[in-house]
Formats: sequence, structure tokens, C-alpha cells
Amino acid sequence: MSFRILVAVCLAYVTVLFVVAFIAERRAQNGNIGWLRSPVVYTLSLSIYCTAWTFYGAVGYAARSGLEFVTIYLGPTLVFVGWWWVLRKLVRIGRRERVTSIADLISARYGKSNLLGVIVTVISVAASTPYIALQLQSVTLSFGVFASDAPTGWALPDQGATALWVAAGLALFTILFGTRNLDANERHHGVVTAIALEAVVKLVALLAVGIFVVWGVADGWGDVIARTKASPISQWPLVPGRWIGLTFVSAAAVLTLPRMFQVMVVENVDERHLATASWAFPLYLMLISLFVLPIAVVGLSELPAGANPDLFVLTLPLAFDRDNLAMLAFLGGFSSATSMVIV
Amino acid sequence: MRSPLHPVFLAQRAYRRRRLTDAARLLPLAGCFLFLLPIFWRPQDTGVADTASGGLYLFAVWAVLIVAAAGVAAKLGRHESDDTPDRDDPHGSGMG
Repeated sequence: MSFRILVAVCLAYVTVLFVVAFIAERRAQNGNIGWLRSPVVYTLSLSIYCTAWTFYGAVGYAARSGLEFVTIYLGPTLVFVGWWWVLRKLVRIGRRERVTSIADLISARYGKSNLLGVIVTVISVAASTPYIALQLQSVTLSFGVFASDAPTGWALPDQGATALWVAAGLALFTILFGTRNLDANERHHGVVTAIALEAVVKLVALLAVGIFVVWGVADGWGDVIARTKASPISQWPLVPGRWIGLTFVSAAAVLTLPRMFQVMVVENVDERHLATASWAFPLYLMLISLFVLPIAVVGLSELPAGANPDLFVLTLPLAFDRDNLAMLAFLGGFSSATSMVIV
Repeated sequence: MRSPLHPVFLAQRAYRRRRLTDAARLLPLAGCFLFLLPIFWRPQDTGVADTASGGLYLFAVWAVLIVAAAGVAAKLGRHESDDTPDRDDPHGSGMG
């Protein structure tokens, strides 16, 4: 598969995102919101919790430390299943105070203190900048996988340049659909709809790779379990402190990450959507992590020893000459990186 | 969405609603307990828990939790829209 095709598919995909966001924005302006404010779109937009870190990193994490990777998804699951305790109140307060960001919320609790708002904003910016860089790095890395795999023809393009172009494109998207309309309630139907679409893409991509790995490479679940028992991660040395701590941190993260706060509280149009999200979002997380362990185990047993486990999602289909599947996986990773950066 | 099946007595409806919110509050605690339970697993032969069976257990608990949350959310949503229409949305339509 040539690099040209890869770039063309990426551009086509981004164009589709632009069109979807544009149509959604237009419909919202005409007051014709309809399905745009359905609980399904709300739940899917929450999936920006799963960034490229999840898409590529979870498999790498599982290949290194086994089952510990699920803590990252168990925490949010508990938070959403327990929506009646915290989320319901958070959304209610957010709507009453017309909160537009987490900095706004915290300062609102202390008499709209400006200084506090500034501090929280600075912390959020400082914390999310390396995170965004990580997403861009994952996109360039996955470009690199295809590049190194190509037999001849083109050299690996400059990684910095790739990252810069991706960043520029995303910034354009954000300006067009994000910051352009600064109204009081700060709802961005275009962005949310595009993110919901990306959520579907990354779920489908990961499920497709998972199904291919379980029934295409391995011989069904029984074989996967047998391989798990034979793999280097067959034992589960659970350290209670890490297990509880990571679950707790991920639970806290889902509440306080600026991007989660944006889609969960600010973009919430109806409190009842939370009721649906309380089970649908954990379901999404479960489906995302369902095939992580099989992919890690099969990757460990099938690929050469030095292979980067963070890229198993891409390299496994490529190793079995499933270019289309690898392309889908690439788009999934691309989606998860871009949606996080946009928000 | 009043159906003829609903009882006429308000107290009974309030009672059911309270029990449902109790269930909604209890679910995450039950989930927390079940997810932390593997900490106490010490198989006799190896002394270290096994990834395959641990994974099956975790995903089974996860699935049960999701189904239970869906049940509670659906019932609660129905009660909510019957009893206390949302102030922001006077139509109080049922959840989708």
C-alpha cells in the first residue's frame, strides 16, 4: 500500500468529518436538531475518553502488564454506573451556573473568583499540552509503520513535518467548528457530531481487528485462552495498591479531564441523556477493551520478539497481509487522536 | 406516558421511585466491591492469580453491571418523566 493512498484516505476521511460537522451545524442553526441531541450521540461523544492512547496504548499496556490495563476503564465504568451520586449533580450545577469549562465550575463554587479560574486554566493547559503532543506522536508513529512497511518507492517523510500538517489541519477544524460560535451555552453541535462519528469509527476498527485476531489468526476464544495461559502475561500479579489506585485515578480523570468535562457537562442538552449514558458508555468501554487482551496475546505469540506492542493493532493485520484491515485500524487510531486534540 | 397498568396511589409510586434511586446508588458500590474482589485471590497451587480466568471474571462482572445499570436507568427515566417534568423541558417527553 502506498503512502499516497494512505494520505488520500486520511484526507477523504477528514473531509467527511468536515462535511458532517458542517451539516450538523447548519441543522442546529435552523433549529432542526432532532437526532443531534439524542442520547446516542451524547454517549458516543463521551468516547473521547478513549484517545489514541487507548487505541494503541491499551494493547501495549496489556502486553506489558496483563490485566492491569482494564483499571483505566473500570474507573469510568463505576463513575457512570454511579451517575446518581455525582454526575447528575455535576451536570445540574453546570447547567444552572452556565458553566463553560472546569475552570469556570471551580471558580463559580468560590464566588466566581477570577484568580482561581486562571490557576485552574493554567493547570489544564499545562497538563493537556504533552497529552496532545502524545496524540500527534501516535499519528506520526502509525504513519511510520506504513512507511517502513512499504517495499520500495518512497522514503519515510519527515516526522516533524507530518505532525505539523496534522496539527494545522486539526487547528483549522477547531477554529471552524469550535471557537467560531461563542454563544452563552457554548454548545458545538458540529464538533459533537463529528466526534460521535469518530467514536463509531474507532470502535468498529478495534472490533474488526479483534475479530480478525480471535477468529482469523487464533482459533476462537478457546485458543485465545490457551495462548493466554502460555504467554508471558499468563500470571496476574495483582498489586492491591496499584489496582485500587489506578481505578480511582481513572475514575477521577473521567470527571476532571477538561475534554471530558466539555462533552459531559457543557455539551449536555438534556439531563436524561445521562441515564442512557450510565449504561451505554460502560458498554462502549467494555467493547473497546474486550479484544485488547487477545490482540496483545496473539501479537506476542505471532510477531517477532522485538515488535513494539503499542503498534500491535496495526502490525498484526499488516503481518497477515490484510491491508484493508490495517487501513481501517489506522483510521481508527487517527480518529481517536484527532477527536481528542479537537476538544 | 401513563399506562392503565400504573397504580393510582401516589404513595406507592413514590415508594417505587425511592427504591429505584436506592438501587441506582447501590450499583456502583456493588461494582466497586466486585472489581476489587480479585485482590483476595490467591490460588493454592501458584500463589498468583491467572490472567485468563481473571479476565473472564472481570468482563462477566462488567457485563452484569451494564445490564443492571440499563435496567435501573430505564425504569428511573420512566418514573422521572412521569413524576417530575424537567424544568428546562416542560414537555417531559420520555427518554429515547
